[in-house]
Amino acid sequence: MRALLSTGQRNRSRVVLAVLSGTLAAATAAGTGVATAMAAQESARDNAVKAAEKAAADAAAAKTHHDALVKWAKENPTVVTKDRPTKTVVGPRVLAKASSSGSAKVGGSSSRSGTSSSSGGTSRPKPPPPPPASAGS
Amino acid sequence: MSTVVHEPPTVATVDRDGGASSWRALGTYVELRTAPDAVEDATALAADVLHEVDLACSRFRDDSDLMRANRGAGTPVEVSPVLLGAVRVALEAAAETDGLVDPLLGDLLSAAGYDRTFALVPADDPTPAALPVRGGSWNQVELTETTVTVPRGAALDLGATGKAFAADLVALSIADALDVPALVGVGGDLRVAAPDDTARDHLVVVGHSRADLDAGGPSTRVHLGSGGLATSSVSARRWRRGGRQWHHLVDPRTGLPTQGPLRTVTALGRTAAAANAATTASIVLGDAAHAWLVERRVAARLVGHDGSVTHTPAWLLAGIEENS
Repeated sequence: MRALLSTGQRNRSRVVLAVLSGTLAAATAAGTGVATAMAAQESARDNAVKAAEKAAADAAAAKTHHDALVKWAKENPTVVTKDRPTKTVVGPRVLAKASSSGSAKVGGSSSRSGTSSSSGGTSRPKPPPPPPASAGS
Repeated sequence: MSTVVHEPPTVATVDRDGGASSWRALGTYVELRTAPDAVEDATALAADVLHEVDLACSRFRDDSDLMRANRGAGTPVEVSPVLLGAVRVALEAAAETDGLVDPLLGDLLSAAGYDRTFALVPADDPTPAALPVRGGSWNQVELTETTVTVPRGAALDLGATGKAFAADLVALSIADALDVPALVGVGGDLRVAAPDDTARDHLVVVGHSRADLDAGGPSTRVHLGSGGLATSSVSARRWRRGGRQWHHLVDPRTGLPTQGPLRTVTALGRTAAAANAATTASIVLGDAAHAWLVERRVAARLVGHDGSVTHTPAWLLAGIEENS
């Protein structure tokens, strides 16, 4: 009986079959990977939506609680008294000098410069403190 | 150089040998020069006086006498003698300047964003400012021996003369209680006081603003013997609100920050409050300031935005500026 395929043909067929099988297996594995990744992505999206919904619900609940507290506080006011310091150091004589009539009178006055004092000595004097400033504040 | 902490909490840098100290109070810087052996006591007393002024006159604390008077606008409110004195001086400054130095700008400054101590005011707030329609006038403020009545719809703000009045109070308190001479500067408003009322010679640096001086900006040196010296400048306390540039010197005639040609004015006065009234009014007056100052024989130095410097005859006559 004559064989349907020659030895060469059979070998080629086997090679073709092996290649096809391998390709199919690789395609199947890749497809499975893609499907798994898509499922994971969808799951993550679902989780994010659920987390956002939960956060919104928590915020709404917190606002409701806050509003209730504000309403309660308005209906139940509590006065907290805090003593202000009462120490006074400005005496009436100084106050009268500082605020007597003419205290804010503009003009007609000039600065009188006195003689600046100096002290003698052999050692070099310490430099004086920097002059105070008069500038807009 | 040492640091002294005093109650109420005040941290002052004290130079015992030089008789000098400095610290911050009323939202600004304070400088003191006095006899070296009295500098610690003087610093402690000054801190107490300024604390008392803050309790009485602050626009930024709800428990101050000033804020109680503002909340009770339209009715007499019993307040401390210190606020009564400060308001009396502010009203005299308003009368002296025909209202150019107006103590009723509190609501306006608050609406423009200056509603907290200046360090906390946002440098640039894009929110538009809803400026109020002003109610009442400074000459409707009523004082008795114990009460102040703020006109309804208005709010007191002693920002213009308040710090100068504080400098007067501190210097006079030190001279009175410690029997030593003192120079006190509160936010650039200076007062010299001495128990025997004799003149001293204090060298003072004058500039546009403290920040400008610290950055090496232009300055001049003057000798202050007695009385007060004040400087007002649009370079200081500036912020933006709703796209508009604001500063603390408001023209009461327009309700807006002054727009004149003057950047900085320095003047002498019998007191720091008097000197401050002259400088504040000058910034508001702008072009008309020089003639206004000359007419009143005020010793003053005016600096324009373009850097030009002019003096009044009284300033030149006083001979207090070095190299002038």
